[in-house]
Amino acid sequence: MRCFRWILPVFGSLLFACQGSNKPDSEKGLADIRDTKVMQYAIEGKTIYENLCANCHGLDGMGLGRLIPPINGADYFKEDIGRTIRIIKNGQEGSIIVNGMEYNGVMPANPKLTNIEIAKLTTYLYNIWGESRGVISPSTVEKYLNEKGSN
Amino acid sequence: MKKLGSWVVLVLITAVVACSGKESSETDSGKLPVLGHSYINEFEMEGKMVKDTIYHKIADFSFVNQVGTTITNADVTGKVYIADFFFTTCPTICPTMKAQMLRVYEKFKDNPDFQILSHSIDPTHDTQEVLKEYAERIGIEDASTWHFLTGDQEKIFEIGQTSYLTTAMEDQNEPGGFLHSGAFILIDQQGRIRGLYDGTKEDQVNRLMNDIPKLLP
Repeated sequence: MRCFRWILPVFGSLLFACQGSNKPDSEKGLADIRDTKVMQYAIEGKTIYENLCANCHGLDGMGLGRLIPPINGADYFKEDIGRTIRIIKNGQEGSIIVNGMEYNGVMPANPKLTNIEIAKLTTYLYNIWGESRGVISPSTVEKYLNEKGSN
Repeated sequence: MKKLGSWVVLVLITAVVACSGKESSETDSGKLPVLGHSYINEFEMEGKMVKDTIYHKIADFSFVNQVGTTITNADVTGKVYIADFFFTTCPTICPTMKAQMLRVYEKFKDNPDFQILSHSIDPTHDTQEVLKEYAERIGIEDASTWHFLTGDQEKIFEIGQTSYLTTAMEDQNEPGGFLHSGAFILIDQQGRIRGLYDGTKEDQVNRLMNDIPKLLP
């Protein structure tokens, strides 16, 4: 009987310990970010994402069929932060391959987004869903926007 | 010790009983209202005055779906269907609406008495071919349940405004050039409106999925 008293606390602490680390990458969100500076940016980044991006890409970043590509777990997204930043600002048209699937839609440009807003948005996106790239600063955003990449 | 045990059981049972039953809210029971303007028609029949309620109904229509089949009222008479208005190049609410409609489709697609009519409000751009590709890209392989409709733009605007009681019009100030609501309109076997839901909100679409079986045989 005595040993039962043990079970509950041990079990409880186990449950707590496992929370977060047990999630699949695709479900890791804002609450799983551990770095304070990243968190500061990501909180506002999440709001920007929900207002401007989630309508198409989904709150879970999974996209829509073969119509709208995913961001969550997308090779195309992970490959090139600079390209992502340029797409956010300037939009994108034409055929792209994401996770081996062809997409051929139009993503509207967001010319009104400031560098700090893009910094917050990308800091959010690159530190959830299994990514942990740290803070992406406004100066980094500026540098990438001035680069001529594939977008 | 024994006493304590029975106590625990009793408390647990009470808790369970208290918590069940909360599930059945008013929306789960009872009939769905008939929406839109209705009027009472009085006429004489065999020397008696008879009162007959005339409900708002969806007007006659004829549009073409993604595989080139003409769809008219005859195709949905006797069926429960959902109508909505969208366009393929819509940069705002349409993807969300389609993601939500996909949930409804997945749940009811195998029911022969259920249909979905998605009207394009940009039919000039959204030709049959464009709609076919769009449908396939969101994973709709055939046109047995979900019809993506194109046709005369004026007729589509008109049926949106006057029959489905929703907003659908051209507006250059809107992103994408069109103003339309994200409504999903639930229509019964007789062409009457039985529910309006915001197709961009998950909880309202849940309510829709809850209401559809109330109309199905």
